[in-house]
Amino acid sequence: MAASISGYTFSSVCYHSANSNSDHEGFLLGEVRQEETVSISDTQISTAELLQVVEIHNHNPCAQLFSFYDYAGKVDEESLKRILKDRQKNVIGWYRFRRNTPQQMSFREQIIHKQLTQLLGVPDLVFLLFSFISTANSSTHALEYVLFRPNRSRYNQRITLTIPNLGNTSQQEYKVSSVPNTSLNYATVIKENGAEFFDKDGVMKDIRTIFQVYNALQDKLQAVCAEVEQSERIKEKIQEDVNEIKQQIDLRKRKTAEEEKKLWEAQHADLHQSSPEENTEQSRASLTSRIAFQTPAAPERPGISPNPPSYEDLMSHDRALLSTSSTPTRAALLPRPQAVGSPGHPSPASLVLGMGLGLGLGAGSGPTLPSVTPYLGNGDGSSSDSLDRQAAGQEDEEDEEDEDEDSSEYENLVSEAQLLPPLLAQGRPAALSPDGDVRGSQTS
Amino acid sequence: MNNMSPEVALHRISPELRPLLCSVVRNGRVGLDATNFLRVTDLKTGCTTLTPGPCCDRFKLHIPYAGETLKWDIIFNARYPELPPDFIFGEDAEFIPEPSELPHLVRWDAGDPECLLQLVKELIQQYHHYQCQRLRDSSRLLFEYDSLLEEPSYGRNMEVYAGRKNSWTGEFSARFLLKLPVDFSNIPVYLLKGLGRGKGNEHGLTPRTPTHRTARVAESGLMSVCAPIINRIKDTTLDPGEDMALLSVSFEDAEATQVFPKLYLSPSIEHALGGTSALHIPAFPSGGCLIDYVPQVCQLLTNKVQYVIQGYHKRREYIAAFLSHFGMGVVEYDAEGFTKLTLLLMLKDFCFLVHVDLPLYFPRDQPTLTFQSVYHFTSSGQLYSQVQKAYPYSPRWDGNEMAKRAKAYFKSFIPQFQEGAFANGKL
Repeated sequence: MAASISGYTFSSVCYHSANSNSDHEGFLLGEVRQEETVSISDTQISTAELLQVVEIHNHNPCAQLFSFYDYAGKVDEESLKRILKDRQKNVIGWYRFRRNTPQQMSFREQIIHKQLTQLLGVPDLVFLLFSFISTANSSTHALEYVLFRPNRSRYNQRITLTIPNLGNTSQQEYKVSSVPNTSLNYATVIKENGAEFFDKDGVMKDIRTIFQVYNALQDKLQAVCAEVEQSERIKEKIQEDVNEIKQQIDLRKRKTAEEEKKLWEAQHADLHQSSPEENTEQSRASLTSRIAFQTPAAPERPGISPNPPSYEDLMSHDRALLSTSSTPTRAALLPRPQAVGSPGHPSPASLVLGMGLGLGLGAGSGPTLPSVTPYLGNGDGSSSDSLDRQAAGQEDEEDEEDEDEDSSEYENLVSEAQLLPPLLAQGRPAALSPDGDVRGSQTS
Repeated sequence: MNNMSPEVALHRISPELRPLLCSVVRNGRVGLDATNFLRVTDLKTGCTTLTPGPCCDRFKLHIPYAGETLKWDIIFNARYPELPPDFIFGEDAEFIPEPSELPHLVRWDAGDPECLLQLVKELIQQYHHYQCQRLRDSSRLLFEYDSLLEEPSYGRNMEVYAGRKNSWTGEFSARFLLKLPVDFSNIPVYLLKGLGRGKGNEHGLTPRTPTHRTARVAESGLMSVCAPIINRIKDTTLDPGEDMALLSVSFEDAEATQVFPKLYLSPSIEHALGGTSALHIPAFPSGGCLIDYVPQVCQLLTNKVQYVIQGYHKRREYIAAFLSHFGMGVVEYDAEGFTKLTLLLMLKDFCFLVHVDLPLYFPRDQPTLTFQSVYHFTSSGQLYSQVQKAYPYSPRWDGNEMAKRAKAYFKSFIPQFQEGAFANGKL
C-alpha cells in the first residue's frame, strides 16, 4: 500500500495542529484506488502487482476534543454526521496530533478507530499520527508523522506517506497530482475566461488550428503528387517520342550510309585494281574485329592499330556499331546504367558494356546484351570513351530513368563526364558510386 | 529526567492536574508489591512551547507488577483538565481493555483527586486478566494458573505476567507473583524494628538503643548495681509498610523445565527472621507444580515465624527466671528483644560480670556466657574476660531450671576464672 498527500493539505493540517494549544484531531478525505502493474522480465512472462494507493485530498479538522466520542471512547454517530456533513463518503481516514508522546496508537485511538471503521464502512481506514517533539531548550522542533493502517496485522501497520514535489524538483519531474480540483472559485474563473482558449466542445482552440494547418498541408501534398504524376507521364511520352525519332534518325543514317557505301564501292571498284587502300582494309578489319565482339564473351581488347582511327572514323564506326547493335536492341532489354557498388549492379565488364550501350540508347532494363564495346584500349577498364560519354551526355539527360537509383548514378556519370576533359580520361566511376564501394574500375 | 523525585514532578505539572498526580505519587501503591512505589518520569507538555509553565500534562508512570515494571504513558490536556486521560501501554500494544470495565474512566471526575489512582488500579486489574488470557498459549502454565486460582488463599493474591513469546523459538515465559498467606502479626514488634541504623548483631537484630534496667541482686552475696530505665525510642522515620512475603516463580519455558523461585520478604520481616538466611527456600522440584510447591514454602515460612516467636517467648522466660533468681545481681538486660543479660555477682569477695547472649534460635541454640573480671585488664586495656559456650545445658529445661543450673555452674566455674584472671590480667 502506498499513500500520498498533497502538499497543501499536509501544510494545512500542520498549520491547524501547530496552532492548537492541546491535542488536535480531524478526518482525512480522499480516495483509494487500485493500481495494477504488469511487468515483463526475462525470467518471467508477466507479473501483476496490485497496489492500493491512498490519496489524501483534503482534511476536516474537529473544533474540539471529544467532539464525536465520549469519555469511554464510544463514537456518537449523530455527531459524526454533523461534523462530516455530506463528505462522509470521502472519508478515508482520520488523524490526530499530540505533542511529546510516543509514536504509537493510544488506547482511546484504537477503540475509536475500530468504531469508525464500522460506522464509515471503510475497511482499510488509515490513521495519521502527528507528533511534535521539542528539545529542552526549544532550539529544535521536529514534526513527525506516521500513517498507520491498524486494521491489518500488527507487523504491517505503517505505510510510507509521500508528499509529491516535496524535494528537489529540478532533478525530478514535477509531478502533477491526480487530485481533482474541487474549488468553486477555480471552476467559476475557468468558465468565465475559458471561451478564449476553449471552443464549445471543451477542446483547446489552438489544437484545432493546428489540425487545420495539418490538413491543409496534406491536401496540398496530395495535389502536388497528382501534378508530379502528370508531369511524369508527359515526360514519359516525350521520351518515347524521342526514342522513336532517334530510331528514325538511325534508320535514315543507315540508309544514307549504305547508299554512300554502295556509291563508294562502286567508285572504288574501278580504282581498286591499282592499289588497295589501307584505310578500307583497316577499317574493314577493324570493323570485322569489332563485329566479332558480338558474342557474349569477355570483352577483348583489340590490338592497338598502327593507325589510330580519326575522330570521324570513330564516329562513323560508332554509328555503325550503334546501328548494328541498336536493331536487335530494345529499350527494355538494355541494362540500366548503374554505378559500381550499387546493390544490383552487374560486373564491371558488363557495366562497361552497359555504359557504352546505354549511353546512346533509351532507358530500359533487362539482361545484359552481348554487344560490342567501343574500346579504346586504355588499359584500365574504365569507360570506353569519354568522348562517347560526353557525346552521349546530352542524350543522357533525356535518358533519365524514373528509378531513383539509376538516375542518381546516371547523374554521377553525367557530371563526371562533364567534368572530365574531352580526351580520354581516367574515368573512375567507381569513385562516384553512391554507396562508396570502390571497385569495378580497379578490377578489370 | 529519569529519576525524578515526586516533589519535582508535582512542581512541574499543570496546577489543575496536580491533585490527581499527588495521590498517585504520594499514596499510590498498586498491586501486591507494596514496597515499590509508583514512579513518575518524563514529564512533558502538550501545549505550545510558548506557553508559560508549569504546564506539563503527560508523563510516564512506572508500575511494579509481577516482578516487572510497566511503563505506561498517561496523556492529559492541560487546557482541558476536566477531560479524562489517554493511555499508551508501552510494549503491550495488544492490551486494549474494555472501557466498560473501567468505571472511573466512564465516570471520570476530575474533581476527585483519587480518580486517576483508582483508574490505574482498574487498568492493572484488566491487565492482569489480559496476562492470564495470554497464559492460554501454554496449557501447562494455564494449568498452574487454574490450580492456584482454585485455592482462594493464593488465587486472590496473585499477579501473573506472561512474558514475551519468542517468535523465533516459540518460547514462552511467565512469572507468577504470589503473596503468601503467612501470619506475621504475632511477631513481636521489637523484632520488626531496627532497620537502617547500626549494624545487626549475629542474630540479625539490631537493638539500636538498648534498654537498661537494673535490679538489685538480692540473693546469696551477689551484688547488684542499679541502673536507670531507658525506654526504647521507636523508629518512625521509615515506614516499611505492610509486612508480607512474596514468592516469585519464573517459568522460563512453557514446559516448566526451567523454574526459578525467589522469595521476597518485606525488610522488617527479613530482619525479624534473621537476615538473608531466612530467604533460603527449597528448589522447585522438576515436574512439580505450583499448587504443591507454594504450600510447602508457606509452611516453611510459617515454621520459621513460629520458631522466632517461640524463641522470643522463651528468651523472655529465661530472662525473667534469671531476674527472679539473681534479683539485685542483674545489671541490665534487653527488655524488648530479651537477647542480652548482664549480671554482676560476687563469690567469696570476688566480683565478676557475666554477660549472657541469647541467640535467635534459643532454646535450640545455647546462650553464650561471657565472664568478665572487674579488676583485671588485659594488655589491650580491656577487662579480662572469658567466653564459655560449652556448659551444661539442655534446651528442654525451662527458665527456672536454666537459672538454677546456671547458678550452680557459676559457683563451679568462678574459682577457675579467678585464677585465670589473676594469672593473666593485671590490676
